[in-house]
Amino acid sequence: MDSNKDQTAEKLAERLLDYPEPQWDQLIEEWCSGDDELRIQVLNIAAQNRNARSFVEEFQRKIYSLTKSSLSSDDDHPDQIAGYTIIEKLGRGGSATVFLAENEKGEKGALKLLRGIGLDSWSRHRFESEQHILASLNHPNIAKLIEGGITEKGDPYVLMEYVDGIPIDEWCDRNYLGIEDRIRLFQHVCKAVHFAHQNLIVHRDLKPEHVLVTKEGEVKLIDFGIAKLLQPEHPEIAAFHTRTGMRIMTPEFASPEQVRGKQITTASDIYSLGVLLYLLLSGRKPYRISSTSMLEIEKIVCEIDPIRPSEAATGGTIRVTTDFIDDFFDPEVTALRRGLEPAKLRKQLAEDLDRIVLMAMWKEPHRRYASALSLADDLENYLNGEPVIARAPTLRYRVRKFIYRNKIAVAAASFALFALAGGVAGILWQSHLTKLNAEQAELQAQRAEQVSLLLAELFEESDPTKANDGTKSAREMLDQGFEKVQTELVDQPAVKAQMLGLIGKVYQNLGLFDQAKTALDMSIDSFRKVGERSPQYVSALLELANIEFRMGMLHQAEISTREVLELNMEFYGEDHPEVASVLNTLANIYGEKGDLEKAKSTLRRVIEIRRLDPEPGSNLAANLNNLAILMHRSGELEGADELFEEAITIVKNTWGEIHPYMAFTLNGYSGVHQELGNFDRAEEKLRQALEIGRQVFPGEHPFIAVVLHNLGKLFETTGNFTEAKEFYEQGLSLRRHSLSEEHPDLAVSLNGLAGMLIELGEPEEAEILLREAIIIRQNLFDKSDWRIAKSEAHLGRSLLKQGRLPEAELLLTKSHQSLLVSRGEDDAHTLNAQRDLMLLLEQQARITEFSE
Amino acid sequence: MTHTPTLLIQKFSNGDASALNQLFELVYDELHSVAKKQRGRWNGAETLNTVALIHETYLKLWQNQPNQIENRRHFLAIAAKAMRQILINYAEKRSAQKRGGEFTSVDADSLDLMADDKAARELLEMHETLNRLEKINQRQAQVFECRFFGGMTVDDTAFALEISPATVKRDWQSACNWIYGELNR
Repeated sequence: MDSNKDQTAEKLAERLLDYPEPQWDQLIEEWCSGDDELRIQVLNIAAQNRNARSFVEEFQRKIYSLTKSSLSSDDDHPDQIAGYTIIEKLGRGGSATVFLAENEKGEKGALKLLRGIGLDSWSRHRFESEQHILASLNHPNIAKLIEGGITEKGDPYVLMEYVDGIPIDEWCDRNYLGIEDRIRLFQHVCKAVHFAHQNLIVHRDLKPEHVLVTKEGEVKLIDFGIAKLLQPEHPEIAAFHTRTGMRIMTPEFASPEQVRGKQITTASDIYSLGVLLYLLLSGRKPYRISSTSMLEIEKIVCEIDPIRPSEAATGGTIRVTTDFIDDFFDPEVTALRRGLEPAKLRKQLAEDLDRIVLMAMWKEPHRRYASALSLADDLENYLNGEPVIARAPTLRYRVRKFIYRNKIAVAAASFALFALAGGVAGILWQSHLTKLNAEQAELQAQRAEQVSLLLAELFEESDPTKANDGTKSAREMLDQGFEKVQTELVDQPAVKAQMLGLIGKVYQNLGLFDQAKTALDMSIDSFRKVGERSPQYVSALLELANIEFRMGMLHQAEISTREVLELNMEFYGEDHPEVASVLNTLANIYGEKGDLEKAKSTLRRVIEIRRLDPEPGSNLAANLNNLAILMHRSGELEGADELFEEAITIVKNTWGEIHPYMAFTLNGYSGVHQELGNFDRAEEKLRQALEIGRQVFPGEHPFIAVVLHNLGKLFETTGNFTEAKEFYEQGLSLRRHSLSEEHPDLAVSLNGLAGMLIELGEPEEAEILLREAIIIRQNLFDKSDWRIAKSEAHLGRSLLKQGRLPEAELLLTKSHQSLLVSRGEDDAHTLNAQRDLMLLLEQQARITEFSE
Repeated sequence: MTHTPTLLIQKFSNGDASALNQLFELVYDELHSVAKKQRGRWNGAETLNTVALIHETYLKLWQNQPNQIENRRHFLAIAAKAMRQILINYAEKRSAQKRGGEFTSVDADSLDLMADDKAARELLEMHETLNRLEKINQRQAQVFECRFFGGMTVDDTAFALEISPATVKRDWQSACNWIYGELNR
């Protein structure tokens, strides 16, 4: 087509878009016949277009599989709940829908239906027990929780008193409330929050939309403690892993600890109150955040100091996230809404009110007001013209100085402090579980407050400007506190016990296990002396068990865990999920001790408890999988086979084929079949596991390397060394990428690949890998550990193949001896070493013969 | 519901911007409920037929309503947006649930359940990329939204956005190129 010849390649490529893709190649041939240069250009552009299209189409297919799960949650709701008839939908939040409901008496309620939360047995129990506690919260300024529960469809719901009101900031603005009236109204909010805190309930999501004012001008806090109900948490993870918090929906009101996903405490509510007060006084929020990047949110909330409310009110520059376009702000209007002129507003806010707000908003929880009540009291001081306690600039300066002088130590110290605050909150929440009566609970709360004050004091007195030149580390500060607690709290053994428990936890967080253990031992001792078997005691015990487990003191860990178990059985009853979870921990300890029988029988008990649960879900599948692995290890292949099959069925029914658990169970399942000699089946299952793993995990996930290695192992067993080498190589390169240089799994991969290299006639290559493996293992394990001997035996073989007989003899003799002791004479590794030793002797004999 | 979809579209055409939001809510909810009923028909790895879903939603919403061209036109564009929002909400929920944890062959308990996580993460990335495209070339982004999230054909998209099919094809290709380039940087 001559007329097209002078057209640019791009124009032609664009024209192609009018035709179906399969015709493109032919059209390009037609249009560009005789002009190779043009043809190639068009082909290139078309290829790029095709790539982009197929990328997007592929993506679309993947996304549509998501659609199924996403649409499974829906808004259909029961017609009636707890005697209330649902009238209309009020709105939709992150994962909840709110409906207006009404009972026969005409009383209105707000029904919050949580969707897609997927309650497992434990969360279900927790949900029920917590909504019970929330229901007991009775205060005129807090919307009452009427009832909570689970609908027939299995969705959790809460039914609350319906509040017909508007957000507090809007209400104040609409009514042109002056600063003092705003403060008085806000004090009601503080008092209501304080009341809840005294009842051990943290709101967790305080913001104007949750602080309403009714037509009568009455403050009503809604959604108290509801955020907590939304957060799923796994007992099995909580037992031996640090907990992760939820990411919050309203970052502008969230405290630094909330944004970081750390423990949320009463102090977090105080922070949010500070932000609310900031808004009420200045008409602006301290930050404007709309970024979807958690990192940026974290940076702003955790690191940037807000400007003073007095500056904000008169048009100061507020810190905003990069993608945020700040609302138009008019200082005149803001002042007018407070019945003032801008200059006067600034003056009224400056000094005292600025300080009060900023004190509530300290980044470090312990520096904030100790309670919502003291915030209200300090505001009272301001209203009465008395000095406010928030006047403490020197502390700030001291801390600043300290930070510049010793950045790392401070990071560690604030980490420690977060942990301490977490400890206090832990106490608050744990008290729930034991269903203490109000009086006891208050006592606990008082003690918790005392403890947190003591802790704050403890760290302040380690102030560098007083005590030393600023080189004091978190560790030293903690040591100092540890000593002080021991000497100064002799006459308060209960408080002392609790303090020691907290200090132990901080030591543990800092990785100082020895000190942690000492502190926890003392704490437990103290608790025992006063005869206290409180949740704090159980928590200290569990922490101790954790440390003992990590330190390899398995016997002690067992004793501690057993005691926790007994106490939990007493608290909750024998068949409680909480008990199952501690039993699971115990099974891990037995497993680590090598007591497979006990580990198995313990897990069987765990499974028994789980089976009582109508919807055991993930826990049961995991427990079955774990038991199957243990049975595999102890040679009960058929039993293991059955358990794996059951686990696979559960996973399939619960989550479908493409799921991490499916990958895990298939991986384990294949191991059993390999042992049974069903190599084809084993290979099939492993390849499935690999395929699923690649879909559900990021490419470098350790699990992928595990499966690759297992495939290598399988082919090694069947004698297909070339194939085996391939998989070992892939596994190794993945592990080199994702693991540290000293990781034990790296040595496993090195060893596997080296074995294949020897078989395939590359002993020199193998030698390099094996020396690396040996160094890793020597650093990790005891000298006499069989894994070192195994690598050394391999190395001996590679040297033998290279004809370096004297070196080989040394290594083979040594490793053979070691394997004999550790693995016994029938072990495959021992026999291999022995075989190589014989070969060596033969070769030596031949050489001697020859030279004679 | 007090407002019929037709009324909402009329209000919107008469310049009431809030009607569009209400219409969006309506379509969003209806998509959910229709999808729920369709869900019984899904099984195995079969993927969702978005086109059928949107069609059924349309029929349901406009039952006993005059079948005006304008209704359908607005509906289609909004439905694609609603589909997108449904997916994004879900993906956000998924990625918020994500927990850390390393595999050990013994203790599967410590592992998180995150089947859809990878796709969810990628989808959120795509969502942000598309947000950027919206700022640069809104029409391309709309075309992409209709085709990708709404599963709409070239002709449907052209109808919904009141542009020619040829433009849809070019915009679709440009948007794909852009997304591909951005996500594979």
